[in-house]
Amino acid sequence: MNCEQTRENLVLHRQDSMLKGEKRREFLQHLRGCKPCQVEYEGLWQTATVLGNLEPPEPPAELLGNIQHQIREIHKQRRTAFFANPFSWLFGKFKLNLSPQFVNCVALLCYVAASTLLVKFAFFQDAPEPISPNEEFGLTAFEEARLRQVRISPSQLASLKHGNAKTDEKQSVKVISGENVSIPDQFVGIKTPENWNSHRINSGVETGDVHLSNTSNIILTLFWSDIKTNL
Amino acid sequence: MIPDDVYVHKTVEGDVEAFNELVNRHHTKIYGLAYRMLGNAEDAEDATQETFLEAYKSIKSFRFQSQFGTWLYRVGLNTCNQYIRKAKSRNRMLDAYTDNTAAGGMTEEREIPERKAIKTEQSQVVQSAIDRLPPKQREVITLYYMQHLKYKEIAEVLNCSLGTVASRLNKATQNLKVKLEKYHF
Repeated sequence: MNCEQTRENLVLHRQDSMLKGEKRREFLQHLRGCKPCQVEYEGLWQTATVLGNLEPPEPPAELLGNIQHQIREIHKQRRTAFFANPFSWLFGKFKLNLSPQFVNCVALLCYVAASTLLVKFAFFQDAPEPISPNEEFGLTAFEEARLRQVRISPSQLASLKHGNAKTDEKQSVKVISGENVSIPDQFVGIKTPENWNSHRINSGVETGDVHLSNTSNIILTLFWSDIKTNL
Repeated sequence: MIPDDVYVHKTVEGDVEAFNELVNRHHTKIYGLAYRMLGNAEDAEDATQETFLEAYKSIKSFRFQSQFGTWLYRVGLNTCNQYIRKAKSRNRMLDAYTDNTAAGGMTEEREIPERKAIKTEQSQVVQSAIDRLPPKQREVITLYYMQHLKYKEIAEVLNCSLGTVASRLNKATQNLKVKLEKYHF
């Protein structure tokens, strides 16, 4: 064994198990007879001793507690379901140390309540209450009772419905504003509602049925106004 | 004394306090490893915390083929190496800044002032010498001389052969000898 090979094995010699048998014998034989290798060996031995004698650094006192606290926090986060994470964060903000099971339950209840409300508003809206005639026309209860006793002859409506009102001179119909709306004489001059012109009547495009229906509505409105005036 | 493996099993089953017992057992040596690898207390403290958090998160990947302590050393060394890489890039940026502002004047030993102030203490001198070793040599030096692991255990931690461990240890010790010779310990 030469000097280079011996120096490669100097450190290994510190552990007996790493240098055995013939190799170990050759190593020791060379070391006994070689002064430079002895110096090298002593230097390494000293370095190894210095390293081995170094005091292990003491960890700060709070380190153990900090690590254990962080581990517990991670454990808590893991046990909180993913949908409860916002709640967990919120409770954490308020310094509330709640168990993960409780946070999960709270989150679940909140989500169920929110879903129920959403479904209710989306699919189960209350039906609108029927509007009574006195609300629709602004009648008092007495007026409404009187109105129920009034019998209206269908003759005018019937004539309109069959389309002969437009040209029947015996019934003295007139044309309003050049449109084909026939009003019986007794209703000409009655003040009509403000939204009179907003009715789509006889635009010339609609079918005869629509025209008749609109016209009937107008006539009915006039009847109602007349009845209200008389009342 | 209850073996570590029992606590590892309990941790996998969801017992957080079992892992905290493992932290209690091993935090001193992991801190020692981090301190020798990184050379300062602040980084060592952070690296120790990160090591245990990482170990807890990946405890299911522990296959019981080695000692828990050996596996923990491996996690610790990975964490420390990440710190060293970060520190290197930080130093490179710092060096570039220094080169731009004050050309020349850099000594061979580029050390922080606090380190110089306490250099009279032997352990600080040795630590300073260890800091200047390449990371792979630093690993074997720390594991062999400070953590007192056997060659076989070091080979397991570093995932390399016994010959590689011996070779690195030899080179590292000779490097340290050269660096420490002038202090005449």
